[in-house]
Amino acid sequence: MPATIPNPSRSGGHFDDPFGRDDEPDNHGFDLLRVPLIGSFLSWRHSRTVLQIPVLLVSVAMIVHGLLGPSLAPKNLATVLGWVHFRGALVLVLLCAGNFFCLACPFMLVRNAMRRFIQPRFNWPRPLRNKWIPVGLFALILFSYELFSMWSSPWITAWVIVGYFAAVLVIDGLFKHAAFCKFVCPIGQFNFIAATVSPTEVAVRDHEVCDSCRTNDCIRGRREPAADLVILQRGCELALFQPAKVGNMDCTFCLDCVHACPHDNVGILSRLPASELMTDPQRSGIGFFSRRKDIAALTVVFCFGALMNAFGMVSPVYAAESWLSIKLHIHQEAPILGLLFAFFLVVEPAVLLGLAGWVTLAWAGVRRAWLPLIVRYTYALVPLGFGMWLAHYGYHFFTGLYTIVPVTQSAFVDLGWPILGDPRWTLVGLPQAIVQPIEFGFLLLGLAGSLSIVWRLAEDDSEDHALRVFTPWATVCVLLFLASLWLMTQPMDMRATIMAG
Amino acid sequence: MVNASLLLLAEALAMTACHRTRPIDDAGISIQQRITPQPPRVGPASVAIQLSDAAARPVEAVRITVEADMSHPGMSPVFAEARKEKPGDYLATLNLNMGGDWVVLTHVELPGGKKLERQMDLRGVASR
Repeated sequence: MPATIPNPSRSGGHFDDPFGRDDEPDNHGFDLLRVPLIGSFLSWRHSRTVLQIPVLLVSVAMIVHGLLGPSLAPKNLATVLGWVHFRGALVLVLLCAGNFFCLACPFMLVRNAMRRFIQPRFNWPRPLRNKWIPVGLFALILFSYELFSMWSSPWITAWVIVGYFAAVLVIDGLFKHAAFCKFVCPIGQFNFIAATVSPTEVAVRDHEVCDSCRTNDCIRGRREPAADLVILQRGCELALFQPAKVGNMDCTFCLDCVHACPHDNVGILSRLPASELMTDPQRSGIGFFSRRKDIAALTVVFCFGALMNAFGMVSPVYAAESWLSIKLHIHQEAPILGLLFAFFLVVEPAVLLGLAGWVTLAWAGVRRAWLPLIVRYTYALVPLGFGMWLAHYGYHFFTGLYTIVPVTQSAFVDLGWPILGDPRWTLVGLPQAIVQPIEFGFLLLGLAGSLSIVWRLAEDDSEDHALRVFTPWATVCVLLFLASLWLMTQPMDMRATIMAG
Repeated sequence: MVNASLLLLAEALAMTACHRTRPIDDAGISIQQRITPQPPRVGPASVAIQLSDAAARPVEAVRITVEADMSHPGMSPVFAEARKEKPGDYLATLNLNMGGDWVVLTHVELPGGKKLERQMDLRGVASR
């Protein structure tokens, strides 16, 4: 992983700041690390470990209950916590705060413990230093989720968690830095993309302080003065150099940079959500978004996968699969599902984005090549995609909010230790009449965010014909919004198997 | 042709929607369950439960409750109390409020406090 990031302060000036902060004093409205108690806690060097321990214990409980507990998904901690509460809480925290789930990641706790005994020897292979593996894994997980009906199997869910721990230990046991987080972890990539619309980011408080910094501890780590190879405090393992870092992409909120900075100059600062998608500066550890086809592909899977994931839970998917099965004389689910995924994750985005790019070039005369133009505008879809994830996961989270209570009661009863009383299976969650308007609100919020980004990009690309640039991409946004709206109004139909036999 | 094929597919789905079980527990009690309508669809569904002993004589239960959960966690379960139709025969009405796969749990309380539970998959409840 490259750790040699050019220091703007040494090359004679700042990187271009997308939000004009270079011309203004660094004056952020809110810094979470300045909040009494919370700030002190998060600034404490062991805060991450303290947050990770309970999540690890919950993960272990999920594995044990998933493997040994009831096979019925609604009565098992693995499936209820994993597919109802974890996913819902994840997207809500990303929306309201930031990437705090990566901060509390239990996999990293186990990995850090392993690294006390095993030091990795290899660097992550240079050809793989991109997001193509996570793109494939993300799509594979969405596909497997449907094919194996993971939501309905505590056993599979438990093994997925075990597999995740194993993958982290193998990859980070072999490769240095945070290779798993940056180049493999599909959950992490989901969080990175979604966190681009979060209201906070880990960022420098005052760039002038960084200008005078000569140690770069935020990325190099704090070293033993007498022995430079001895690291007292890790710097950023994901190659994000704070003075040149823009936004939340690749940031796990691990706060290593906060602890390493000798000037106490890194905070968790407020910002306009999605503002990092409205500009295209060079980003530390990432480069230019507009040149990163791999991150654009990840964005496509994130956005169109949101629709596909919800599509798998409504009635029309069964009609579509049955129709395909009959037409193609295929009676296995995997190839039929594969065709649907290929259509929704490859063909549909290629057609929609390709056409929008072509119209933009032909009508508005933007001076960009076709593919870079598409890559640039693809990021504008993130709020829409995130709105759909919020609507979908929020639905399960809110309507099943209290189900964790009887499942936990039942788990204690199974242990022969009924301290929480008999399970109250009638405890479910908020009524659909309350949840549905919230879902629509999320979708509208996503549409508004995407349209705002498209407009900003259009203004940048063509002052004279901004509306012409805006129109095709706004059309794509509205089409996806209408598709999301249609999906959310379809009757739920959650089946573990689709094809007969 | 397409309609005929879809009909065949629907019938196949209905057949795989296991709607009749006949396990015998270690106390020698047989619990037969049958759900109508077939194929199952959203709305009221009748669960007919028949209890008998090893000699096929009807068995009386103190109480029978039926619970249906979706295969997806976090969804609202539905409950019903079974009423006695005739000796050994009980009937409960569940309101299946969502399409998809359901699991029906029948809780039987026998005289003397012995409890039995049966689980039955009810797949492919049609939305409309």
